[in-house]
Amino acid sequence: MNNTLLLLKIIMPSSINTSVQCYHCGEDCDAHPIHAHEKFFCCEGCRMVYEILNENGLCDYYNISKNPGISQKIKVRENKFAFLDDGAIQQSLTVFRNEDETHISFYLPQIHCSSCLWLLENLHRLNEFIISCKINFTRKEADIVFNHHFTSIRKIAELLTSIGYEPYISLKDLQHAKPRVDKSKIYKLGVAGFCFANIMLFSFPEYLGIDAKEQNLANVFRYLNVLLSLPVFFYAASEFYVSAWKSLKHGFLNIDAPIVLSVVVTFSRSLYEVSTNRGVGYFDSMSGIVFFMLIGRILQDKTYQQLSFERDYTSYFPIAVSKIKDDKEETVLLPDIQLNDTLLIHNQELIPADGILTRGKALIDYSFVTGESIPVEKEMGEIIYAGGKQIGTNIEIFVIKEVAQSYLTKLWNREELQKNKRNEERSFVHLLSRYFTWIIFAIAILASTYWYFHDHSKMLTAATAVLIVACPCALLLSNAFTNGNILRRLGRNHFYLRNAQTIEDIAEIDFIVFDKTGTLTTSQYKHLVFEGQPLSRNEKAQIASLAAQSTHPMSKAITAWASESKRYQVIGFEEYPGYGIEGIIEGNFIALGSKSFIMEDINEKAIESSVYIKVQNKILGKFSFQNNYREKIPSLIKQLKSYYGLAVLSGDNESEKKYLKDLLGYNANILFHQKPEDKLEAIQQLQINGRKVMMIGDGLNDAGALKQANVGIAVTENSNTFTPASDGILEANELHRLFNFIRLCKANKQVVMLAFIISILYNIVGLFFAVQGILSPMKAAILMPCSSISILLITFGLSNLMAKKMKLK
Amino acid sequence: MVAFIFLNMTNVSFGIEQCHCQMSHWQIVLLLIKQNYVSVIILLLIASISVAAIFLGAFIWSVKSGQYDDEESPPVRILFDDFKQ
Repeated sequence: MNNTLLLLKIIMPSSINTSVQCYHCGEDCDAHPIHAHEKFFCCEGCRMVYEILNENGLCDYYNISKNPGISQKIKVRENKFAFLDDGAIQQSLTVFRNEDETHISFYLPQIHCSSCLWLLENLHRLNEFIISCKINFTRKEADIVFNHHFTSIRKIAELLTSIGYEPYISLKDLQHAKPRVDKSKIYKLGVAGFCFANIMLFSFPEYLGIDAKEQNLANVFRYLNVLLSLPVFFYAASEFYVSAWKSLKHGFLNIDAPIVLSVVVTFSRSLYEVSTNRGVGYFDSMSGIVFFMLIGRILQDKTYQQLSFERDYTSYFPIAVSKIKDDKEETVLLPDIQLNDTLLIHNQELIPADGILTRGKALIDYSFVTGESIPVEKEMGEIIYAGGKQIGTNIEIFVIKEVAQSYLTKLWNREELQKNKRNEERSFVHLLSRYFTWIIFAIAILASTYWYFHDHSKMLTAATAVLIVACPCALLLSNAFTNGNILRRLGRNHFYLRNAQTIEDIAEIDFIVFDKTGTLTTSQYKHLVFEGQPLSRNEKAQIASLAAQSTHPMSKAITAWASESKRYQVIGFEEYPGYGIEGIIEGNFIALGSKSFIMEDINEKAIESSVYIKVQNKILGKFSFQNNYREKIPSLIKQLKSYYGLAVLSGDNESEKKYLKDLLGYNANILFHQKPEDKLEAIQQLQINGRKVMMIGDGLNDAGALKQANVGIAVTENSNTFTPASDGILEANELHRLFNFIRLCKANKQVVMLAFIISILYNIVGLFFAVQGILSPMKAAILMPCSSISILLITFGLSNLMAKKMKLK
Repeated sequence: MVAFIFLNMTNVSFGIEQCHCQMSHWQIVLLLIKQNYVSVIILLLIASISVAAIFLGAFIWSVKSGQYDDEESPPVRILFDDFKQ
């Protein structure tokens, strides 16, 4: 089929829009697909990866998943991994090392399918000195064992890059070891489950009527139950003791207090009953409580291991950079960069420290840092701030501030950003449970006073029975299960929240602030509109030839727009940074540039991003670069407008002001040229006025605002790339469903309240028996699991129903 | 457990007889058998608890050794073909 398309393309070149998919990565091949090995590729990079795999017999890679490759359009610099030859760095990346082998662990964010898994686990076929490679798919990590006599960490990193899986090594990897995952709750759950099941089983004989003559045997079962309940009481329930004690030290009761009370009272009374031969005790209820509460806890503590919500500048910067010393290039680690060093920054590299430009043409992309959508051109002698990305040729800078002292990192380390929001004690559930505890105490005291006057013997029985049966388990369980379920559903829709508390915070907001560049707009620089006289194909080709001489993204966009492959020769090409370019093509003098450049009017300040064309002193028209807004954003804004206050804070220029005013309404707050501190202060101001604010942003310039807001959501095109610290991460193409996500979070509270009411009913039934002093162990043992399981089913079912109503996956 | 319930029922029918008559030979035998059944139950208890404890130990070991760390790759991994060299 591809061959027919090729034929058609030769016959009718420009009328058919044949977009071929790259065999390797699946992207469109644009105008010039590369044809090799009877397949099409979008770029040389993809073709080279195919050839490597083909030579080594690894073409099953393409059979397992369709187009599994990652686009190789952006080439990786050759000695990017030179810093891996350094001994100290190798040491910090090595997990284990003996005489012949070394174990290392790389983070490969590009892992996304089973083909990746297959290829990487067959890495030894590409390099015989790699002994094994094991992938942890959830964390996207590759654990590689290799023979260090014959190959090195650097060679392995380069091999991985050559097949498209470039390891992401950041400064953070150098500094801390990875935190150990805490599995203690799971062990406690296992023990509690084992004991719970066996205690229930051994309680059957007494419930079903063992004869008084068989007292010896009955005692065996009773003491077995005591034995089995010991691990539960001392080990499995320790989770709750610790939590309740911590909050007691601060002077108030949290949700675990009634659980602890219930467990302790049940255990003591049961011990008393068994030792004085009065009864069989309530060990099954006690272990059941602990078991179900642990399940709830584990479900609610679900975290997204492969994402990180805690980011600081060390995760953003690379590990090492090239330094020029005595006219020679050498690698230096970021923390070792000193004042007065001269650094060599390559194309697409991040600037790690504030410095002065000493050589080369600097075109810095600050869109991630300040939100400016147009790269900034800097001249020799100007200060370049850290955090931007160099586009174009190599430049050299003279360091004037160390990495930790640069403007960017100082911003990040600001005091406001260090304050951690108090996580735990804000849920409405905590409030309810506190009332619950006091009410239970009151009932117990009432019951015992009643029996004090009527029948002494029943006093203690009634009081302890009340404390045993009135457990807020159902409330806490419903909360835990619903939260866990909603976290999961949102995660399936690519909206990852940091923890369950965030769900409630989202439900409470009443004001939403958006960032513009990268959040409401894509960072693509392609949306080009031409206004002016229609251009002939020849003229387009000439303009394209001129534009192709420059590396400025605007020039590149113009070249792509012209979509003519003919290139003419350009004589006398001149580029004026910040203004424009000019040259002579086919005898015509053509100039492309800003309004002031073309019209020679130096007083005009740029309020829009436009490029004018002048051919032989006649202005043919202009290109306007409009922001490419994400799909369905207007409908999202319409939905949100009626319920929430809205604002847009942008670090960019004012060119989009009119469009945004139309979209959000004339009284909405839309501000431009916002520096990171301005955004933070704007949010603070709103909070002082009593609003609960949600901030949605994507870049480093939003980091302060994201932390200051009640809820900070980081938007990202690809959840594997860096995002600033936030309470939630949202994938960019799901942004338009924000309204439904918020509604689901609101529904969470309703479901929990409903479950709470049902649990109150169960409690009333139990209390009915308890206050009369006739609560038998069997009744308690039946009531407790019954209530827990039914609450579980109800909350699960309801929250899934709600999610379906919001049309979520 | 079933054995025990059965034992209870025989006990009920037994008790009436014991009060009034001297125990005859076959009643002594039954009594002795019942004593044996009790120790059988104790044995059963020990056996079932130890088996359950073995399973608990296996559970804790498997979680500790990291078998559940990555749940997405093992199901895919088992389907890969071995290379025919």
